[in-house]
Amino acid sequence: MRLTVRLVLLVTACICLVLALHAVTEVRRDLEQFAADIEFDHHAVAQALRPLLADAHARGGDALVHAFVDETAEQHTRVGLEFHPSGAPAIREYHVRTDQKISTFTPLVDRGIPFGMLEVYEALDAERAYARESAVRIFWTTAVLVGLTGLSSALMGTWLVGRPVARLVAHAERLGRGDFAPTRISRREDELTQLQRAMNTLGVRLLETRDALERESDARGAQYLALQHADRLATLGRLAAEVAHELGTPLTIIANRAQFVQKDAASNEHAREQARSIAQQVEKITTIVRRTLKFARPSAPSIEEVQLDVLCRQCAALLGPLARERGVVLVVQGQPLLARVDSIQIEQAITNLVINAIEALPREGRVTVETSERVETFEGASQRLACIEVSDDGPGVPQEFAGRLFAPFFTTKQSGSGLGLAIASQLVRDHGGQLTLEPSERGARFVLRLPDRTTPTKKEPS
Amino acid sequence: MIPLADDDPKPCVLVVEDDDDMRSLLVEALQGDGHYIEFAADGHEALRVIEERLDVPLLLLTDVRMPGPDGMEVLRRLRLRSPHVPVLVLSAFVDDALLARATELGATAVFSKPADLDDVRSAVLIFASAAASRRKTQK
Repeated sequence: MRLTVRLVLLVTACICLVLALHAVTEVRRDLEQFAADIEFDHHAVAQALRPLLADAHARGGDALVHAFVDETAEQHTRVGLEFHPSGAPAIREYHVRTDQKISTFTPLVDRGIPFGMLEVYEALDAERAYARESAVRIFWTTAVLVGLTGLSSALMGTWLVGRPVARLVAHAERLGRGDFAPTRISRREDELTQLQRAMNTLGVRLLETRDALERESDARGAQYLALQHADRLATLGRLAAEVAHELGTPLTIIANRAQFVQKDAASNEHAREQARSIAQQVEKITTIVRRTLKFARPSAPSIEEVQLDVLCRQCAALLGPLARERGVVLVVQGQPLLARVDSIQIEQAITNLVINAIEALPREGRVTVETSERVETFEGASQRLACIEVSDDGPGVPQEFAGRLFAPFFTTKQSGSGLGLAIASQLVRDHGGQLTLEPSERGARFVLRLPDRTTPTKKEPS
Repeated sequence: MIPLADDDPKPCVLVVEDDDDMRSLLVEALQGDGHYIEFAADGHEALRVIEERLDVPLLLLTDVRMPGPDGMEVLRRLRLRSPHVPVLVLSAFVDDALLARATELGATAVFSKPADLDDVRSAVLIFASAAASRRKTQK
């Protein structure tokens, strides 16, 4: 609003100044004209009286002139007349202006001899009154004009500038608080609406940026949690292995001492029974420890010739219950396929792919595992590849996820760890192969390619 | 104290194990099977038996992790004296690296704890008697 007030003050001050200057010059000119008119009137009166006064002087001298002038003056109310007999009168007519009056002095001549001056004068009361009246009129005119102009420009300023600016200020403050909702734009088209539009765009951009940042931060948080989880699991695994290792020696001792007791206490049925119970329980613990150790120990890949189609059928048999539970039909088809792989690792990869496919189906559906042998260009050379395709007829993989599909901890499932496909991909890579998501008419289609690393002594089925 | 019998020509089975109870269990069981046993509680003792005796042991049954030189080092030093002595490794920490190292040094078998003592006893019986008969033929 201060801006509006300043603008209004400036405009009204300009108007005041112009009006005052105009009024002063106007009054001056009027007064000048007024004085000139008076002087002309005086001249006319004097010229009319001159022959009459010359005649009076010829007939009765100065006294008669005085009498004539006084008589004439009495007849005129507006102008005053006075005769000045003088020894040295001026030759020409002249005017004298004072604050009080305007006088015109005209030389009087009788038969060629000057005998005095006639003064025609008029008091300036009327003129002063006119000037005063003009000043008052001008003052009021100016005041009214200034008032009206100030009022209208204040109103217009508020309406055209003040309110839109206040809205912009409020919008900027909202943006500052993090509220990015746009403001309604008025129909009027001017610089302020352009600014408003720009601020709305700014808000939209800020909103997009904030959302993107939030999404990114959420993703990072989830990734961090997953990493933490994985780290805890790994630590737990190491701890379990350590504990299992430490238990190895004592378990061996207890089990065998129990056996010794059993033998030594041949005559004591009760003691033998106790020792047998100890041996039995220790055996249970030993089994658990062996299983833990087997799980914790990273096994080196043991490459052997494996019938991949049989491996696929084994996976399907293993996952049959899960598929049935979800109403999914699991089909294994294709040609017999032989490859040199670590059967446990490749089985793990296939299992992960099939579980992924089953869980990707919203409700019922079909998962197909197909083995085939292809000759394709792989790693720059045409070669024989053992291929396993796992496809489903579900919704498929959205385009935006395709790039991150094999990244660790990437998952679209609520309960997934995001490691299934990553592990499968890593296992296949460890075999020099490749796991890819390929275009499909329906659902997702994963293709696992294994290069033929068979040694020349390839076994032919006899 | 280990009876270091330099004048004793009787071929022994050397048991190296730092856990007292485990060692006495092994010694007791193997003695029960009729073997002549010498034992050591750490790597240093084991090396003394191997390097100071006139005759190398008939068979070495060793733990891996223990004070002083570990079981693999004992095995390596034994191989410097004899490439043929059967060696049974018994460890709670069997992994790929250990298996590879044991194989490289010519270990006969590797048992993982908790081990079935009967398996260990059978192995000792088989390999010790094979080694004993080989020595007899050499003589």
